[in-house]
Amino acid sequence: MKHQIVKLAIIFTFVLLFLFIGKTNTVFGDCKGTYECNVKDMYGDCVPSGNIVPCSGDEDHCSTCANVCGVICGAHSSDCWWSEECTPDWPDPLCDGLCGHLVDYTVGDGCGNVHWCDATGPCCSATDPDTPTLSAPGTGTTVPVNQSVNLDWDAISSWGTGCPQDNDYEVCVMSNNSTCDYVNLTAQGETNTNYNGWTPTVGDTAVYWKIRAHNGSNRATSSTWNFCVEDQLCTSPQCGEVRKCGTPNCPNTDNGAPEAPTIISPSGTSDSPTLIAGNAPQAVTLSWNAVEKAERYIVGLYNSAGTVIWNPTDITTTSTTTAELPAGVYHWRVRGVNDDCTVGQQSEASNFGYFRINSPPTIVKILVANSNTNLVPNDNTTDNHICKSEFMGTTNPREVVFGIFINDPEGVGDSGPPPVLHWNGQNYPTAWTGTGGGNNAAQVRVDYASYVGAPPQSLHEVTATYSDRWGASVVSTLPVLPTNRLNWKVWDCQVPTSGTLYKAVDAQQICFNGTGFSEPVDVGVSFDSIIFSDSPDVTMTVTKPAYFGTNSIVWGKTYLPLINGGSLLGDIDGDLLADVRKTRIIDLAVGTTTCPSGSSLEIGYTTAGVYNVNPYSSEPRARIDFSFIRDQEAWYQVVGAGVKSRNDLEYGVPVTAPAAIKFLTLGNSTVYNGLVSATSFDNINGNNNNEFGGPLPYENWYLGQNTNDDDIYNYNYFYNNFYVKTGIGEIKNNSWGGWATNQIYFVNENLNINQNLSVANGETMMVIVSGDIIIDPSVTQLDGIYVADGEISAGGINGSQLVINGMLYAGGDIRLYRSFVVKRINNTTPAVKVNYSPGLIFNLPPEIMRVLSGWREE
Amino acid sequence: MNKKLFNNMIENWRLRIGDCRLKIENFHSGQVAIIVMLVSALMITVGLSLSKKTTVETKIDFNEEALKKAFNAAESGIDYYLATGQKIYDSNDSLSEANVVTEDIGGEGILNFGELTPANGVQYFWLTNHDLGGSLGTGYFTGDKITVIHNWPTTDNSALGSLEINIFYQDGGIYGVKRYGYNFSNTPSRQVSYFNDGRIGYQNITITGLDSIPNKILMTVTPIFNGANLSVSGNGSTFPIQGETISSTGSAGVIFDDTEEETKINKKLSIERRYEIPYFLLSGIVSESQVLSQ
Repeated sequence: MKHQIVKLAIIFTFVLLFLFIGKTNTVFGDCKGTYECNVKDMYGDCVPSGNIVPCSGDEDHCSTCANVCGVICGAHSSDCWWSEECTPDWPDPLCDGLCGHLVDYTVGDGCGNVHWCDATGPCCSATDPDTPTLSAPGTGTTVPVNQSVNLDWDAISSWGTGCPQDNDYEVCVMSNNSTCDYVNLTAQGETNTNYNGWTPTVGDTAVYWKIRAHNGSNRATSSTWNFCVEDQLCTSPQCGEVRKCGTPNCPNTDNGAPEAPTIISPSGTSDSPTLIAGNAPQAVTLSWNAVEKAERYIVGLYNSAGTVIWNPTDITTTSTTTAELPAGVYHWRVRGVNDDCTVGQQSEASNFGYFRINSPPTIVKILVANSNTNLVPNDNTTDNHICKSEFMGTTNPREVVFGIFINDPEGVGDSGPPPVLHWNGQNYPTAWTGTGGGNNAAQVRVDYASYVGAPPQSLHEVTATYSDRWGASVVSTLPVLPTNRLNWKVWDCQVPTSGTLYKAVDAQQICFNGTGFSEPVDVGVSFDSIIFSDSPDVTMTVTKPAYFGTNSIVWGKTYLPLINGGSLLGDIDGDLLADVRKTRIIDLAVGTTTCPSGSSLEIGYTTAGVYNVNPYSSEPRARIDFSFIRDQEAWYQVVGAGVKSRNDLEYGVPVTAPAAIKFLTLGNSTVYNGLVSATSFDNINGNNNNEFGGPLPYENWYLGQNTNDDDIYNYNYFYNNFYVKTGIGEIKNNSWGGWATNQIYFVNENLNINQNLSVANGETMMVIVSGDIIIDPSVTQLDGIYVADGEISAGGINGSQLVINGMLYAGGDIRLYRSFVVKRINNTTPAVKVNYSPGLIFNLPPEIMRVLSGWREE
Repeated sequence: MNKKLFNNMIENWRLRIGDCRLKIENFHSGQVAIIVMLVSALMITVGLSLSKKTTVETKIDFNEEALKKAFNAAESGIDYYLATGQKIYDSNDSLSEANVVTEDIGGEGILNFGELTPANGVQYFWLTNHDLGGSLGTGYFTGDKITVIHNWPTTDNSALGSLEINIFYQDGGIYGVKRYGYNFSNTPSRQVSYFNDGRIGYQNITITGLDSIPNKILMTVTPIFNGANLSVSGNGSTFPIQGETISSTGSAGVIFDDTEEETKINKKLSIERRYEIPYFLLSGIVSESQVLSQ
């Protein structure tokens, strides 16, 4: 039972639902909102307002009324649909009317309907026609009154594009060049290029006309010409008429030559031409007063020769300006010209006016000469000073002559008063001395004998001022020329000088880099005095051990420094215990260093033209240093052989030795020098240049190792093998003197050799000592072979060299420290010289050369 | 020891043995017999050995003596020759004598003394002969070049060294010397400064231009850094006699009284007599200590 009830309820609900859907509008009432009130479509639905126009009498159908929708009125069409984007503008014309539609065309209304539109034809883009060109009458033509005027123009080539095309020439005639009041753009068609449809009735000084081309769209207008309507030039009345003329017997008031004009400027006389301001070239304005009847003026301009150089004839004003004229004197005049009634009626000429275009003078040179008027050339182009040798060598070294050259393009006749020179606040009036090379020359003599310039005594420029006779002035600083500049210095020529004596360490002296100029000499060098020798001498103040100065020497002089009583004729270093002088000059004001090659010193220039003391510095000061190599220690030398030491080898070949002998061993063509060997080498004079042998082509053999044979010879060996075995030799004691040569001597103690001994050629001599051999300082020659178990020494001093013609061999040291009395001689000469003498060997008894060897037992 | 003495000794021993035997008879038999036998055996053995030794010693003493005499004779023969030039030497006791034979050294195109010249030592190659008295002769080497061969192995740089060569000559009574130096090693530590480096790696050096050197007397060669077995070649020219080899054969003999046996011993000695000068005479100044300048 209940189930049935439920079914029934459900059915009922669905029925109600259908009814609700079907009767929505009815259920919910009339159309509201945006819908047309109570307007329904065929389906009974409300429709948007404005989108439907219900057909009259039939509210249920869409209609085509008002062209809103293409539905046949009264019928339902399924084509009638609404598009939310589509807003057909029917019945607004859908035809756009735009050009470009060459045939009829259709348009859609958006609702599926098509409308036909008429063709509009192609689109037209208008272009300009060509600009017409007028032909006649030309501007300025006079046309008679009361006669038609033929206006002619040239046909144009292109009319351009008219939209639509409608080509016409249009004529415009104007009285006022503004509006076409006489002929207002009258169309003449496109082919007619002439118009004579207008006749002037009154005179008119200017009638304007133009032609316009019009192609229906665009226009092009010619230029505007004008003509005069009269039978005469309307702007130039004649015979006194104001605007018209044309009668032959008019009044003559405008006829006849005008009066002569009066020049205004420049109006100078021949004696006093007007000076035109400024320098040549100059353009000059000529002016005069106006005269009646003169329509124009004729000007004549003449140069100083009277030649007309300019002659304009149609100047219509009362002034004119020439072209730029070069320097010179000119004159000019003017005439008036009346061209009324009769052309070219000239007045009398005006007076001449004279004017001058001046060339300013130039100061071309300022020079300085010595009192003998010999020119003293400048240094560095412009600089000069009173201490130069050219001044110092005259009778009045403090007097100079300044010269100045003036150039005036107008010649010396244009000269004014002599120029005035100016220097360091002083003025020197000059006097003309003549001409040279077209220049006017002046000079002044100045004596600086008592001049004491305030320090610093500097370089000052010599300037000049000058004016020519016309007052054109010039100064030497303008323009700046290389030749007209002179910088002049007057000073006392004194150069304060100091210096130091240095000793060259390791005998190295290189002036330019200061080598050898760093360590002052010590007391041992015995520096006492130094004089800069010249006339007069300058004696320097010495501060021992190494310094001198400060004393003044004279710039430009050449000095020879003499040290320790040295003399010009002898050793310039006197008794200074050093040699090999090197000199250095330092310009303390500038800081430059020069290294003179000789001993004489020119204070000023070096031979290369460079200053060693710059005279143009404000305070010239110098430092002159000397570097020396201390006198060398004594040294020995071997000629014709080598030197061998089992251990050390001292030698003393000094750097001061002449190049030909600057070696420990020397070779010659008879006896070549040999090997020098030792475990170490030491040069007591610091010359460690390994100069062990030479000169070339002889060899410099040396080896830092012992090359002594392992066999060591001694007294006993020689005694046994010579004296005992062969009976050769003689036993001696330490009683040197009177020993016969050609013998072998054995001394079993020390031996003091205190006398010379020479061995004749072909003989020999050998002395074998078990102790030491001491060679007395008094010995100067010792020939032979000397062998000692102990030491061989030769020391002391002697004025002469010790010459040993032979060989030395010792089991102990060999000390050769003999020196010359004058130690300086050591610088160049070995105090001991060993001349290797192989003859001593081969003159020995042959028995001592025989040796037994190679014992074999079988 | 002589034969008589030996016999005496044997007799003495025999007597002693007899005494011992008698004493032994006083001992008991058996043991005594044994002892005796043993002692006898011992004595015999000792006795026989002593007999042999004496014989040998006698012979040995005799040979040594002869040898010494022969040696001395040989030596004396050399001395005698050196002193007198005589080649036959008889001893004072006429028990020994020596015969000397000499042979010149040199005289050929190559000189090789077959000896090692130590480093810094000097080898002397005379370029002139010596007369009998040993003075320089006038038989000068006439070749224009001499090749000096060092015989260092050139493949071993450490074995190479340098040569200092001097050639002494005389010209009109004036003696001179030409000197040459060559490095053969390319190792700087085995080179003498400014020696000629043109022969580095080579086995020899030829000194040329010798025809410009008159009357060449002596060439000395000093190897430096390493000793060398030096030889020289005259390149076709012969070298003068460098000296002589003196061979002396000494002989000494003894005749035994009893046997009339005669024994002679010979001993040969040989020496070379050449010419050298002390090495220091090749330089001007040589010190075995230092050369000083102050």
